[in-house]
Amino acid sequence: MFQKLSLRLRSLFRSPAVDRELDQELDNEIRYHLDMQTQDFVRRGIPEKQAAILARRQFGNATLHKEECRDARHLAWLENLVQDFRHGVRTLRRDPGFTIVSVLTLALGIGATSALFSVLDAALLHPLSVHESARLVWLQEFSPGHNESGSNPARLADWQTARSFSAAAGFYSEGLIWLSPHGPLQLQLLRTVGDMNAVLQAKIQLGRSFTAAEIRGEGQPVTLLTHSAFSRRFQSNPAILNQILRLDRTAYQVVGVLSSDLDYPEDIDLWSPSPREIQQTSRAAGFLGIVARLAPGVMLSQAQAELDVLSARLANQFPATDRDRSAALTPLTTHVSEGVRKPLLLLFAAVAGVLLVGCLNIAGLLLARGLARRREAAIRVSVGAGHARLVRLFFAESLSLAAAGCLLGLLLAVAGVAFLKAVLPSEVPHLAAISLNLRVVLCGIGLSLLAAIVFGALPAWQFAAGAQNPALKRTRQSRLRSSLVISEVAGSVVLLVVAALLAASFLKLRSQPAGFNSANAYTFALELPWDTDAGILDSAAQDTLSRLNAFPGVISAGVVDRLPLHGGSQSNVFVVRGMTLPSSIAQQEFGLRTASPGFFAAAGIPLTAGSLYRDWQGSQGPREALISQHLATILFPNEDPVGREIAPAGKKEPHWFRIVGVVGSVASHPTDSEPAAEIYIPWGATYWPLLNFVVRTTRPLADVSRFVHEQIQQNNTSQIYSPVATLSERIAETRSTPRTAALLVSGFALVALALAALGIFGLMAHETARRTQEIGVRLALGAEPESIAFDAVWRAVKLVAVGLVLGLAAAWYASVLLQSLLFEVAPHDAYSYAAAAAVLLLAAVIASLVPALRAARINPIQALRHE
Amino acid sequence: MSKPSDLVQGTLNLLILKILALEPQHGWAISQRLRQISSEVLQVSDGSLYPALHKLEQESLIKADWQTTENNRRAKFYSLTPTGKRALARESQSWERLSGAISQIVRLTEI
Repeated sequence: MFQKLSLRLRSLFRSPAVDRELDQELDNEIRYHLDMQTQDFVRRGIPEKQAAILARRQFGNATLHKEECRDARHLAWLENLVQDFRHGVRTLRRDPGFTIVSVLTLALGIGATSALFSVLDAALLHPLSVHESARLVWLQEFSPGHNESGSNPARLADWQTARSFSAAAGFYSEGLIWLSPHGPLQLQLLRTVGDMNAVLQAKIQLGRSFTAAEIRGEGQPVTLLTHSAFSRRFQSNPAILNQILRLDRTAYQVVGVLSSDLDYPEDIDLWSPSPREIQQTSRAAGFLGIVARLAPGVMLSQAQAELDVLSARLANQFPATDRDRSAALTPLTTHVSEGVRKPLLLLFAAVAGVLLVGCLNIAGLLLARGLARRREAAIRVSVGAGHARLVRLFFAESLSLAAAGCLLGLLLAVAGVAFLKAVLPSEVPHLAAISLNLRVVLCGIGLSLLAAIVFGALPAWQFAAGAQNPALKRTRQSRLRSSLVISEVAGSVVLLVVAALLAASFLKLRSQPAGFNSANAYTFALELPWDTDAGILDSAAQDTLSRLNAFPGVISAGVVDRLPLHGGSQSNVFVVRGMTLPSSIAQQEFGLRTASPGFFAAAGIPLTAGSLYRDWQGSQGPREALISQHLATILFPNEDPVGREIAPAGKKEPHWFRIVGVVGSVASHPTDSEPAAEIYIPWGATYWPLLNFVVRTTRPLADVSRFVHEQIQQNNTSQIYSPVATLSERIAETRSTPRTAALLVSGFALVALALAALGIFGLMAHETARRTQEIGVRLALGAEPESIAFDAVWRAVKLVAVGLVLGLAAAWYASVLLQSLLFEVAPHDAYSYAAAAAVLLLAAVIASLVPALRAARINPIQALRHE
Repeated sequence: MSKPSDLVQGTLNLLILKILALEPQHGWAISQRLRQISSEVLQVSDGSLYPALHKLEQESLIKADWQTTENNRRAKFYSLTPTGKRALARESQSWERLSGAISQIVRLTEI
């Protein structure tokens, strides 16, 4: 079969010379046959002349047979097709304006769609390359009041008894310092509780997995290297096996290397079982993330039902810690892409909208071109082209267009992927690994083919319709073009509305009262392992702060557990001494932050009442607290909070903190307009090994950076400080998803708008050309040129108005889907709709102005001679 | 113009293969053999033999080369390829099955 095809394909590309030679051979062969037959007749006694005639008669129509032989030699249809394609390319080359616009439009649409599809493919469709990842679930616990909370080893042990799971394990991560031969490096360590390998079923590339005793945290500390750390940090040298790796103050024995196809959890250098004492933490703690593998044949809903029963039992068994707690399962593949799913789908929808508008635009151009080529088609038919051949010709043309668009589009997609990698927030799973793979390329090719079929069908249909009543045809086609422009307008309006809503939402987000002043404030962090001694933490904080305060130009410096808007470190239910809180407030969780007194001035958070607390001294300190303005209005609406005592609830012996002052509220969450209701207690009062330093200074960033590097980092090589950034930068990070979404969708909307404007321009220019004679008559009869121009613009506006109404209605329905992505902006925000409509109308007027002015300048005499 | 019908075309191919299975032949000789075997049944012009030959050649069932004949003229000789041999075996088998089935049916209606 293959051989046959290759033979015929070869014949297709045979040079004309070879073809001539073959024809010559065929002639020779037939002549030989006729000669032999004639001789045969002569031998039977027929005169030579007659014999030749007889032989020829017996042979039949020689020309026809030769033709059939040639057909046998060639793959006729394929040859015709190649011819059609050559013709298609030739016609496209004759009309470069049309070709360039269409190919670019198509390339832009396909490039953008393919680029986004590659992100979608990596982040949403194939987020995990773990063995049977569909069977993995993420177990999320909820504290009373349905707040997400972490789990702990004791509760994990209870979840492990669930029969729905074949295995369940917990993990948390730590940054550890490794004194590598090339200087200190921070490594990301995954602490496991339970048998993580049984859950993920990760292959071991080298060495062995953890033993049961090691998993319990017993014996010498051991570690497994992930493949990326093995290749990046250890140059894939197998000699590392069984070596001792000293991380911070602990020596770990390397027992194995994980295989390369494991990509969960992301950005981890090594695994190590959590130490025994941490595995014995109380049921009140919350720091573990839990993943589980469903037992064979168990459905997610069945597992969830078992968990619900288990939760109820635990609530009875441990009322102090487990009451009103619940747990919910989500597929792990969904969990890892949860935060980015909606924005990515939105971007994909937007980009598909651009592609659609682009295709409508090309369709409009093709229709216009079809009108111009009526005569050509008529000539082709009259010289014998069949309808089928003519339709094929149109398809060949659109296929050539699509092929060029596809090729250029895929090139654009390569650039697009690089661009998206740079702008998309790092929460997108596999962001670094995104590339144009085979699936994406096939998707691009599929889209182009689809486009080609649609574009090809249109002029073909136009031609078929034109074979009937020509007058009818003209109105029908003008109507068709108008409806194409209307659809383009409607599509761009939807995109414009979405862009306007997202932009409005982002602006609201950015202008929400932050409650702090990020100008002239810089920040850097020090992340220490969770088993660091409190004393070491304390001295690291004190030492760094005193060095910072000694740096000339520093106004204030402080340390805090988490930066504003980066989420609270802990939250809790609180009690106030001598006061019975209403039950709604008594059950509400409020944020708890620890900060040194200098933090407030450094971050520009004002003190509104009372005074700041004093510094925590060593293991004991003044039990003083500050509360945020918002919390003050919730807890003490009618009295002075200063002097009151407050404590985290749930302890037999409450640790009271005396409120010494009130500070301004900071914004609590990037997408929450409610200011934070928080309690600040002195740095050191609770254990927290993540130190965020904030420094306010008149010096520029470079000075602060150099100072931190030379004066602090150099004197302390066993710890690694993060690079210094401006506080504004770190705050902007929390809004990067909405900002990127708003920017990208606005970009797409502008492209769609430009395409729609192009469509309007094309239609109006064509209309003007068609009406040249009519306009000439009007001018000759005394019409004002202004009114002619106004009339042309008015026609465009009327057309656009229809698309506008349709588009606004569609946006009205579509924007409801956006709700969860919007901050303080209603999906039916009137300003956004009005802005979108105004922008579109303006574009329509501008686009129709050029043809309108041309109409007004028509010379009546020439116009009357037109055609 | 007598263009062989599909059925005849099919049998024509089979006959050509059968003739070439005996020995390599040139076009005219094949046509003579055809005439001998089935002169009155297959009403085809000599010319329609050639498209069939060329098609079979394209399909690699037969191959052709130019040789000198006994009367010292160059002629195109066709011979069976291994693929052609297999095709012949397959085709004749299915032909026998088909013709057997048809004659059975024909006999049935006669009763």
